Amino acid sequence: MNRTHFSMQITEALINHYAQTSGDYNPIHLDKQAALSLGLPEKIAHGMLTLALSARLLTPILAKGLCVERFKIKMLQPVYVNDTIEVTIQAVDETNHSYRLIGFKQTSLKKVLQGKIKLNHLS
Amino acid sequence: MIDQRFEKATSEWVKLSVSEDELKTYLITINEQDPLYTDKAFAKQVGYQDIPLPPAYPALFWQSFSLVWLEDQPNIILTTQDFHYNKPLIINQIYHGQITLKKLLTRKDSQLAIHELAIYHQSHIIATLETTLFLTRGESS
Repeated sequence: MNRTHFSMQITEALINHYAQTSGDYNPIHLDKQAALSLGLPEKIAHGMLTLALSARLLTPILAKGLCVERFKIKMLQPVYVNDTIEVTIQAVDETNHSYRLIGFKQTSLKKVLQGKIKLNHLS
Repeated sequence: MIDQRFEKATSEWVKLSVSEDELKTYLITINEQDPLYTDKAFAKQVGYQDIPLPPAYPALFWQSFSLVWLEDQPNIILTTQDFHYNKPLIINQIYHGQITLKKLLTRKDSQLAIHELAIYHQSHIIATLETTLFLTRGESS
């Protein structure tokens, strides 16, 4: 596997860019006041943005002739603007093409996501 | 907060397709540069029918739907996303999809809304996405 880990700051520019790409303009991602009204300390990143970034770790495996059968991710903590996240993919059973994803916030070490992935050979 | 009567409600069927340019915009946003998603010859050599969509891309299909039960719900947070694929989704293929509000779990000031997006090509189901959303009352709802 070529790439098993990444660390990345989730900037305001990235969140705004994802909002434009996805069409998801939910104010909790873009308006600090909306986030504060929910008791959050800051705007939060789209869960799907964090997921999309994490899914990049699968690409080198898929490029070897595998495809996704199941990809399940639980978001455990909000990722706030300017948080830096670290996400790792680990093989659970490489012969069965089972993997897991784990993501943490770099500063607090709080787990932000965990996931299970099952791949298959392309038929 | 969603009215309980919407449990089991379904959306309209929607035509879903992703062009090369739409995929490029997504790839730039997430800084994905692998040729699997840009080079048709490479994708075919690997064994795909055409350039595949990245595994998380179908979540963007949600924006093609108008879900009456989510109108005026500003406080929505994704908690779980579960993709099941029978086949890879590829660019320029025409799919049809429908979202169902499968289950609505209501507590005092919050809800969990479990949705399923079913994606078909012709009469075959290609993929399903189970999406669990957390909704809170908040100030603005």
